[in-house]
Amino acid sequence: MADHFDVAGYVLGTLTEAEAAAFETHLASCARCSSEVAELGGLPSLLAGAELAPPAALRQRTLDAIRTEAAGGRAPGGAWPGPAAGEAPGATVLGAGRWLGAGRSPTAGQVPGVGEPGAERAGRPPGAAPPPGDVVPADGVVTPLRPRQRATRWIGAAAAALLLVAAASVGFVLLGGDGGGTTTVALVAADVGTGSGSAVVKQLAQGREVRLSVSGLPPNPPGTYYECWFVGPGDTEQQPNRVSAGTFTVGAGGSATVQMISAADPARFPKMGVTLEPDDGNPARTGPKYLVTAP
Amino acid sequence: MAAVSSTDAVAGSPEAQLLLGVVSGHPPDALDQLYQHYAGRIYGFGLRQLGDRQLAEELVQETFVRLWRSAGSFDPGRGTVTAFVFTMARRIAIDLWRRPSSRPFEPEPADTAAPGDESDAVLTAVAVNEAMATLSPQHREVLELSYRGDLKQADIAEVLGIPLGTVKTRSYYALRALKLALQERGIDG
Repeated sequence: MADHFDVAGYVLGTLTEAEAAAFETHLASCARCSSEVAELGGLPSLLAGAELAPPAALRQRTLDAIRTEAAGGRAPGGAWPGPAAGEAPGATVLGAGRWLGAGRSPTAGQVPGVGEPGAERAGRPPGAAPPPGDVVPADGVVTPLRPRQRATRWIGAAAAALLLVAAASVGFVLLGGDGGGTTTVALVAADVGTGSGSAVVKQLAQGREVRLSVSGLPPNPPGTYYECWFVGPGDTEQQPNRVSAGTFTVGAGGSATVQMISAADPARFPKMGVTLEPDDGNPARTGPKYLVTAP
Repeated sequence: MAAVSSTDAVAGSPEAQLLLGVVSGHPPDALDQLYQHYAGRIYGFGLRQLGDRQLAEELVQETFVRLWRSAGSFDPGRGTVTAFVFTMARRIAIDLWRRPSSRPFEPEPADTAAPGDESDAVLTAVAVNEAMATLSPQHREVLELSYRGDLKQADIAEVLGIPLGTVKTRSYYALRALKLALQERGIDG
């Protein structure tokens, strides 16, 4: 039985086929709905006709912003909106087939960004391993980094095959890197906010050199700074098992790219994280976690 | 012949193929194509919801960055690409709206043409956008998501986080409110 309110969905085209068919049957015997269809039927095309096109330059700016992010986070001066104050925690990380946080409250949780693995040049066959750390995209061609694969439920053999290959390549980069001695570690927001990051880690004689790019982090308040860590298993606040890689600040843009070095033994401290620490002269980790290694 | 499941239908849609293309890197311009498909819609949504051109542009940019980042996590079993995109855009719009540096809402008249151009189409477009600006944010939002018909009510319910029944009633009252606002501006569409 069709609802009178369905005249809106009918006119807007947002009813399902079954609902629309039921409503048409209803129309045959409902004068009120028939006259409403006549009254309201022209509105969707008026709205379509009043559409405003975005400025042409926005397209290139947007594609450039993504390409820049793909290349390691050096934003060409564009401002990133930070997480909203008082936003409910986006505890659900993207992935594992999870829909983008269908929040029921007005402050629906922010979705943390997904980490970015090494770049792939356009035209490279999907089976080849991307060169970790070498992230220069080809000129004039959008060569997006493959965003990290999660368990998805794509069906279709071709799609599945592509995904398997893509996942294998990404997994390769995240697990160990190639003979060049670099690894890329994807970082995602720990509990709250929209932060994400990518650390390209290179083993040198003096230690592990880290080129860390972060974005979507709130600017560090006065009296604090962000700290990057190498973290070992069993690390807790009471019994820490971590080594600092360095400290840095994040401005209003929410992003930063920094280079640091740490003597932390990769075998003992394989994971990475970023916390916000008080500038109090205490080297221990006491602040909240903002970024953790993507699971 | 076996019925095509809605997951198949979503996964096989052109937009989903493009999203997959963003992940796999083929075609290399998949993201650009997605931009062509959605940018105008998101810009319009941003302009009408935030009332500010610069914020609308920022909304477009940030939506596509996040779309790019999360393309690999799209689950066709949970809804369409359009709903995925709009869920993201809406969240970002809320953030932008709440940002302390955002300007207060000022409805901007459409400047689709140079001053002096008084064609009916332009005047109508101006009136329509002004009328939309007088609607409540909730009404404006549901119409914004509905008028192209590419989101079904169930998708809209998901994007807005409200029950399906509320989408139905709100759509109705929103259309009626728009009708009235247009009539007040001499548009009897």
